[in-house]
Amino acid sequence: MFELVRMRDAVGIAPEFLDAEKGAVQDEINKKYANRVLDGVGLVVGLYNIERISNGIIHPGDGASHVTVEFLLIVFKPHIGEVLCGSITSSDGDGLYVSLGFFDDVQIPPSCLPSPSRFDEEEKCWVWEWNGNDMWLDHGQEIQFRVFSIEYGPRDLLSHRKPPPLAGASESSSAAPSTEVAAPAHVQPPMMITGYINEPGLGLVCWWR
Amino acid sequence: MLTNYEVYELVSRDRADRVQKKQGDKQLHNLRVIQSQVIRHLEARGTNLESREFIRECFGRLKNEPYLLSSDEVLHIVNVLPKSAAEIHLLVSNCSERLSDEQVEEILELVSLQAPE
Repeated sequence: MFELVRMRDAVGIAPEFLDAEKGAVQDEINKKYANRVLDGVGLVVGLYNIERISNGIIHPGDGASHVTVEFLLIVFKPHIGEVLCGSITSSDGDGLYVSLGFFDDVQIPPSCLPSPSRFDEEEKCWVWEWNGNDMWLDHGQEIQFRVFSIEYGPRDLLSHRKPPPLAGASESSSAAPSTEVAAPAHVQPPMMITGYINEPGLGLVCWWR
Repeated sequence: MLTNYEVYELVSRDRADRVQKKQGDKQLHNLRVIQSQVIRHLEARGTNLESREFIRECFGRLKNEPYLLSSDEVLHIVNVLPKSAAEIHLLVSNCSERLSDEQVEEILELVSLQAPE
């Protein structure tokens, strides 16, 4: 789930902190990186340690000392196939949404649910039909899933617009996509995990323990 | 790769240090948020019940005879802390060929982490 990632960056230390340089550098790095997604890498939890600080350079007109720092960050960087655990926050026709507390953007699409499953419109909940029993995937429940894929970066908003329904369209007619936007475009989070639970041992923790 | 326990230790210690030094810099808000959220997640999983001895024992026993698990598999097990045979099968590839039912039970026993009395 977590890895150490080596980085190099330039940091400015304001004049009032020059006598406690290392602490100031640590704080600057944490301010810049903590709780932020590094594109293609993962979510930064915090600084692990500083490996090297170069000599400071002071630019004319600027009292701050600029140093180049090499450091290690603790990063939430799950692997494909890794088993993680979170709680179900919401559900809709596109699947389940799961949060780990410190990371909220996990989606389990319908194709990754155990089969057969259906979406109950009234309860707004997915249900796995197993041996004639209804296994409800309730909100707030702890769920164990495997990482299927991880996507980074905001994508082109257009790719997330579903064609809005034509006024008066019946079920039998085919809906041609219109160029108008019917609903606000879905904003892609900086890091998005797609998970699956269609394997024994996965799904609600209470199913197996 | 770090075990969840190592991260739990690092983050809890850093947070305790900051609280003790009363470091209230507003700009470190993001750090405080992620630290408390990570700690809460790991405590809910039982990571706080682990210890360095526990991690050492797991790696020492599970990588050797008769289990012969890979480092990645042991890491996965100490992070997930499985409590059922089905979960062991998730974490060990070709499990039914490599481990007997008794060995699976032994692994579950090893990672069961009874809370200290």
